[in-house]
Amino acid sequence: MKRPAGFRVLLLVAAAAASIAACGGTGHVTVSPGLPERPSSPQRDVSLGRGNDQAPIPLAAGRTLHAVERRHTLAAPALSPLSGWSSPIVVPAPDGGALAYTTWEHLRDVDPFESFGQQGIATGDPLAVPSIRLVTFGDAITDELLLRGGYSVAWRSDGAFAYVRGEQEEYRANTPYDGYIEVAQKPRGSTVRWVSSPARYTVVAWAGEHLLAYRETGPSDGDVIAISAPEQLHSLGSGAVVAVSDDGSTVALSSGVDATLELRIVSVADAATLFVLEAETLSNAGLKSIGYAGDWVGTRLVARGFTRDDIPVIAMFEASSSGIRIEDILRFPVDDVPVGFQEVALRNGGTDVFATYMIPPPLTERGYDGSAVDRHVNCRRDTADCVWGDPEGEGALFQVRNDSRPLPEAARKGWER
Amino acid sequence: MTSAESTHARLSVRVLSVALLICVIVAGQAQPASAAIVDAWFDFTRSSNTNSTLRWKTVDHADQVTTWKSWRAGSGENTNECDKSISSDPDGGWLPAGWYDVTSHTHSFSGSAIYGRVWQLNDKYCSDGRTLRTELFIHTEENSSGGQSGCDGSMSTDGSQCWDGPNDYYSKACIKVARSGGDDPNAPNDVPNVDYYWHNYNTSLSYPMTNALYVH
Repeated sequence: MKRPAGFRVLLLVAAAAASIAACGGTGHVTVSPGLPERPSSPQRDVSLGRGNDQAPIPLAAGRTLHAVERRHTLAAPALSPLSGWSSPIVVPAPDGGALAYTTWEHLRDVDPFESFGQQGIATGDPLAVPSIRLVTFGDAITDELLLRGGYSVAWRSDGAFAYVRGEQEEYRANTPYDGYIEVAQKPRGSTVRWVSSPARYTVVAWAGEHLLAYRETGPSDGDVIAISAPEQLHSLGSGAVVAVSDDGSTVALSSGVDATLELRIVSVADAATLFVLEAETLSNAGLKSIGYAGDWVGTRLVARGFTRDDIPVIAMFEASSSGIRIEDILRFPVDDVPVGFQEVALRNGGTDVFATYMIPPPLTERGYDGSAVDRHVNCRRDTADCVWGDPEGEGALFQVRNDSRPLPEAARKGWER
Repeated sequence: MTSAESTHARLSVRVLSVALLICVIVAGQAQPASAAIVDAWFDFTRSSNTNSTLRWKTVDHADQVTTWKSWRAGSGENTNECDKSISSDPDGGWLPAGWYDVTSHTHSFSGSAIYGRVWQLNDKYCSDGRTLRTELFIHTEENSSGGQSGCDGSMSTDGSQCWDGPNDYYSKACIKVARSGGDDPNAPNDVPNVDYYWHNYNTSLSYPMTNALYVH
């Protein structure tokens, strides 16, 4: 197969990535049998119509948890303004018997449109408290506070539970929410501080024995770190976590934008860049940006993004031991998906793509007129036919997702319809 | 005057007792003979991530709004103001709409990725409070002395202390303004001009300065 222009394959630099075969210097890419031929132009316009409001995978909308066979009311809304969608907000346990979610308790009303000063808010004023809650599903469903003054959860297949604990419980106006990363063998087990140097952290997922987290050390400065034990960490470089491979040995990181855009496959154990799609290749395919909160199943990697003409897309890649290439880019009508997607997931072995998005309220000179509209969409990849739904519940949509890998198949499918 | 500007003029909490008589003639723009600025602010009109407009506006005792200057400016890497920026690279959405305080201003900021002349803004929830945008600034790409460092003669590389080219208008929601002297020979020298208006066409420069930026 002719190698795409601009494609580059890097040699392995460490034997530790034993699961990834060396590719040699020629950059030859083997296309897995059974995949459809890549179209000459990878972008395709989807057809978008109304579908069921019930999503095919579990979602949280505010306090409403849309599970597979039931609907449950959470004790508090699923929400994490400190991390947005950069880390899963509602994380199911590996055995499916519980889930942990982050919530946000406002200590006073804050008008998003007005300045802090206009509302009498001074730097340092306590405004909210992030918390982690635990829902257990047994004979009775319980919803209990796990940690006041913490957020972002990663839950490993053996039950190890990682999160960020704030230096202070409250988020204070104009004050960075510094914290630490802690790990417990189970949600209510004894904790060990894995990272004690305070910074703005967000835990994302376990990748094998390594915990992946964002570390922000200053305005516009930060990186992705991999932590294997208390105070044993190394940097994977700057970027956003798109997804972790099934075996947890590699992570797909996007960085840059437009002329500096890159998508790298990085070895978690030693931070070696195994494969990279550089700006020239991505730009030739029309991509301007690739965001976090994607998915990776087998050799299929999916991410949200935008084209160079600011069209919202879901981009699909083949990522295997041979390399990475662009497979398909689904373009969505900007009138229907005006500001792009929030989280993207593969379904049915990668034949379907699911995503959530919001339609912002109209903006007037006096501020926002109403609330955002939150929707989900499911697309068949072969036909690019997509249907959207509008689930019940007030608040932003968050997928119930555990991005840690490896993860038991039962845990991954346990929440799926 | 738009209703937003009228609201701003009415509700401004800053002390308006200082009447400032401006006599300096700025290149290409003459001052009103007895102009008295009672309020002043940045106005950021979001059009695209790399080609939006930052303006300097004032209002006088007669409620007359004057736009003194405008500059090309950028923000974010997409148009979703609720998309949280998380990495050190430009990512996430542009600056959320609404009013901001300028909490501080310095010419010699020395962060780990932002340097030089900066205006720090208050934290901001996006449209319905689902995401909090933090550590927000108006800034350029220069060193803490207001010069250029790390320029390599190439517009395709990206140094945080060198204005490399139009790609530098992208940001993690911050408002980015260009400056000359870096790798982009065509870059306008805007940030000194922004700073000039901030200092010379303003009211009292005490911080935090409430309602000093309007984003829409």
